[in-house]
Amino acid sequence: MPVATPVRDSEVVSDTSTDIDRPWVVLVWNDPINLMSYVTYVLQKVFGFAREKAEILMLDVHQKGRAAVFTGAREKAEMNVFRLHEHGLWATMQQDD
Amino acid sequence: MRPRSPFKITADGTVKVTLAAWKRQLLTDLPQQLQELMSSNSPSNQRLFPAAYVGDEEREEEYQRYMREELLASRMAAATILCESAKKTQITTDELATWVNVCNSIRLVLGTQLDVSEDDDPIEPDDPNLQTHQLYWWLGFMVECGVQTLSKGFTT
Repeated sequence: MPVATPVRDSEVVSDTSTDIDRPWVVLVWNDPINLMSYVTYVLQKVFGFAREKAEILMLDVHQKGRAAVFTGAREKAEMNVFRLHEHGLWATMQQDD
Repeated sequence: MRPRSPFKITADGTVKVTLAAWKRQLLTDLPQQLQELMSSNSPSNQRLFPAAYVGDEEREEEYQRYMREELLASRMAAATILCESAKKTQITTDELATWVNVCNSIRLVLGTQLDVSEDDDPIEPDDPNLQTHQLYWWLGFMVECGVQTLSKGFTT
């Protein structure tokens, strides 16, 4: 059977490279309902962060309004957003600039 | 002074729960009300099902198409676990994690309904929402105590 020769499609290539080159960032946003101790606990539970790191991120959320808690591939970012939503945190994801 | 925590880790790693009967009844009834609410299109649900992609409608739509049902199923299952274990005097740490999760979900709904903000004034005794505020506060206490107990299990 003849093997198909891959055809270079400039549009597809440039699209893919944007996706691969720019990682996705998961952000946790400040909200007036979730307790500070609870946010720290969820970050420890979901990401396995040490308490100190989780507390620093929680304080960023609280004082600066948001914190980046994960950077990486889109699928993993989606999974982390889902787990944060499951725990009631206000999380979104966007591509790194 | 804060009241004593209802949760205590025992020697075998399970959690002893000390709670008045009427509070256990609340923990049985509230998850069922949460399940009913989640089955509706109530605006109080908004914090339970947030957007993942902001400013990207296409990806957001796709995300919700795949994940919303899964998130709903997870929340429904968690509420059932709290409802069914609320009368137990001994629970596992996994069950406690679910208690905390569901108490927090109910807080998100009540906090949305009460439109709480970080610098709210103290509640007056004649506030028409006094009972809801008290419930909101108590659920916060339950979350706080649960988190303290569960955090002992994390390696720091």
